[in-house]
Amino acid sequence: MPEDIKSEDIDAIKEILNIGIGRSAQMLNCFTKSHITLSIPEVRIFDTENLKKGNEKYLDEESAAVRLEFMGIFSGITAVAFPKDSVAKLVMAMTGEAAGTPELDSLRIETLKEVGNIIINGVMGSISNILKTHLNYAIPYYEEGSIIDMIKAEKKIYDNKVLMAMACFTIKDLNVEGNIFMLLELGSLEILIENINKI
Amino acid sequence: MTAEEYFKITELFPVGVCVIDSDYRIIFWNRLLEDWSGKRLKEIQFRSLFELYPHLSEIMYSQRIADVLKGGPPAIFTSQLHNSVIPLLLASGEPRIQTTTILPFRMGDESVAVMVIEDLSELKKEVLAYRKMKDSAIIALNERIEAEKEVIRANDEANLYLDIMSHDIANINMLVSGYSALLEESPDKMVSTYSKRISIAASRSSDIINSVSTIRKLMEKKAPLEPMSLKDVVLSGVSQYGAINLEMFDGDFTVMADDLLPEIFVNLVGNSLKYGEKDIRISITAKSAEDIISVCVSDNGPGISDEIKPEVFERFKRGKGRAEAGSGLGLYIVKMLAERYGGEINIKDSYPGRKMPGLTICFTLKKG
Repeated sequence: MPEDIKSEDIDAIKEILNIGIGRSAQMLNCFTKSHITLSIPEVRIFDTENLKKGNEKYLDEESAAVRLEFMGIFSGITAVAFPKDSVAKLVMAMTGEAAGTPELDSLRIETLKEVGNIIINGVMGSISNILKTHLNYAIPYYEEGSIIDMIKAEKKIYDNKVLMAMACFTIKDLNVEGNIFMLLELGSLEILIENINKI
Repeated sequence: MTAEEYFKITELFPVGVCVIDSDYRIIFWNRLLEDWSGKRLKEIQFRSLFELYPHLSEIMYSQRIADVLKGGPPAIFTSQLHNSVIPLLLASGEPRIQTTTILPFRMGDESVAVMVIEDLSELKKEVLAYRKMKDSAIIALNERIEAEKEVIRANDEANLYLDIMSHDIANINMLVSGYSALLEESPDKMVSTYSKRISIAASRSSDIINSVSTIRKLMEKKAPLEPMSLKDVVLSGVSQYGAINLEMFDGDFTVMADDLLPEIFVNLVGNSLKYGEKDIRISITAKSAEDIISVCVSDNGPGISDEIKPEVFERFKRGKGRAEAGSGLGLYIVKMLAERYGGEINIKDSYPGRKMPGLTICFTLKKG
């Protein structure tokens, strides 16, 4: 963890994210065939300059992600990424598909887009509600690749710190660990933490 | 500016567009949506979304639409998890598969929500057809894998029975040969004659067992070829026949083969001895040419008639009048082995035109 971020700040972020993701789980349970629980057991902040391939294994694995760009008093990208080899099973469990090959085809990607959208909206809604700030959003979209490549492919000037939250998704007999990551524009992380500390 | 003026450009879009105001009233929908729904804009304009589509009052829709109207992030709704936001039918009467994205939008001073409806019906059809095809292919593949496993299992079982049978029959043959050899010495001519026939039959039975065992090894073995001494191979092949009238090439040659190569000489020399007179002469020659060694095994025995020659390498084919012994598998094995080593095989008379033309079988081996 970078030295200038206090552990209390991380705890506060974790709490806000857990409120948001709780809302997302509630929403998902309105229409999925099996009960879902969602939680964020861990939040970490990485220094992007020090992020190298192989350092954190889960950042290298092939992921299926839904991402949303936002602008406001703090700006950046929030994305939810699931390991590509388990996400098809997750989608199948949610839609109640009993049989078939768990492959992430176009139709299942559409479903994943909605699931990811609900998770991100829960998180972003929670942040903007608690901080009482309005954010503007772009249209969410789907992408594939490793989290590390997604972070490194960004062309805008982002803060060198990336906020990474582990999201545990449990449905039926399936446990899938996804990741929510927030890539903030230069200075935005300080603004976010400053605003959290004002609460 | 009216909503129609604001969203006029969406008339050109290949997606359905519906706009609702902060009171959840429909203020615009484009021509494509008119076509898909069969409802003209004038019929539904300023009517409540919930009145037209009561299922949207459910929290999973209403809450998310409300968040968008408050300026929250866009919301995505797909047909896979729940009913479509605006249920639409295809000409066939089936529900149109859709993804609806609801976006916040500022229309002047007013906050509205824009619903963009993509038709995924064709995509769904294609994906379902693809899934069906893929699942069938996987089922077929798994069935094939299972069938192959069953073949291997059955083959192992057959080999086990064959091993047991070969072993037991070989033991019995040994006993029969031993006792018949004793009886051959009998002063009773009839006993002696019948005993000789029993010995020949027992010998033929042993040949069959050996040939079957060689063919099995030949079918199973896929070991890579290795360089080896041709002289050593010949000596190993003919050693079982004891002292015979054999003339062999001078020097030595290195050839590419495996441990089944001696079987060629076991069979060819064995045939010469079996069908020839007691004083039969056998010669083995070897010549080097480019990257091959040409090997010939010749004798001065009775030979094989020209009409039978083309067939002698086939399984269970034997020369006419050759009832003495033999399984009919010897030359078949020789041909299989020669081909295994990448060579060619041919058969000819050793002394054409003679009463006893003899037989020469030539084959090639790759140089080591």
